[in-house]
Amino acid sequence: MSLDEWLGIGLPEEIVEEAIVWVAKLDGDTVANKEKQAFLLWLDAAPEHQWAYEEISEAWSKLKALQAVKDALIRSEVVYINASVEIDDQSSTAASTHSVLSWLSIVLMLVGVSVGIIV
Amino acid sequence: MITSDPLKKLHFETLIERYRGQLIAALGSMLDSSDVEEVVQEASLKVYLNLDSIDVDGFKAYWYRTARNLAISRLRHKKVMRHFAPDITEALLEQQSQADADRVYHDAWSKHVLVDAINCLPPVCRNVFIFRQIEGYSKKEIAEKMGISINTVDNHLTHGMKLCRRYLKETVGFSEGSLEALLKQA
Repeated sequence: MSLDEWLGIGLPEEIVEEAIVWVAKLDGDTVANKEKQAFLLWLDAAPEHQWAYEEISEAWSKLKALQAVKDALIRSEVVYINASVEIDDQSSTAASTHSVLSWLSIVLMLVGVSVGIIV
Repeated sequence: MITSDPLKKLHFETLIERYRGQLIAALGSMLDSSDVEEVVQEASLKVYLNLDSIDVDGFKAYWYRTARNLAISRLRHKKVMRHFAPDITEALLEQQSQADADRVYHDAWSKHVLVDAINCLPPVCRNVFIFRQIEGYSKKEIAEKMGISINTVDNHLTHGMKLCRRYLKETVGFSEGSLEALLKQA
């Protein structure tokens, strides 16, 4: 099944959006019985509702399945803004790398200059 | 194999009678009316032949899903007809081997597009989305972590999914032969 079959293509936009609200709401944690009832009524009301729900659920779980590449995701693909601590960590690492590099270049420059003088 | 259970048969026939109109209307936005008729016929037959393996409560969902899948493959097939009308067998065979070869590439590509879709979310929304979808935190945990209500978590997830879908639709929609492109041509 290809990617564009999980997106509710050809279905009315407002129905797909309703389906998204339901998928997000019903995901994971406990859902009140009243809401479950409301969902079942909605789902049963028209073929488009069922199609949209099934397809968006599929897309939703495809996104969840990226868990498998979680480490790669967070490090290289996802700009992960977890907490300020982590950002500070990164910037201080960057800063220290930077200062080492600048020291190194000064030393190299000095070596270069002195070599130049000697030669 | 047609079921020998007369109650199942009766149940499905009643279902068809009752919901046929709804299904025809729903398919009408994808296919023209003669195709719609054929798809409904074909879907009904498929379910009819599988009644034994389907739970009575699942008849309608199965019937609807079959119809939608048939409608999608009909759209795709039309595309093939348009392109390769002179020698359809060869074209289909060629398409099949091409499809096999493409599958591995396609899976990797899909994953890449999905990652991109998440990357394009606005920061807070993306955070919530990653916590829930990738890291697997419960909504309650996320709410506590971020100092927001569970309702707000739900709203971020909904918003994130809408934006991801839009991104995917735009990205995939550009490619030739995508469902979206086919529907526009139809």
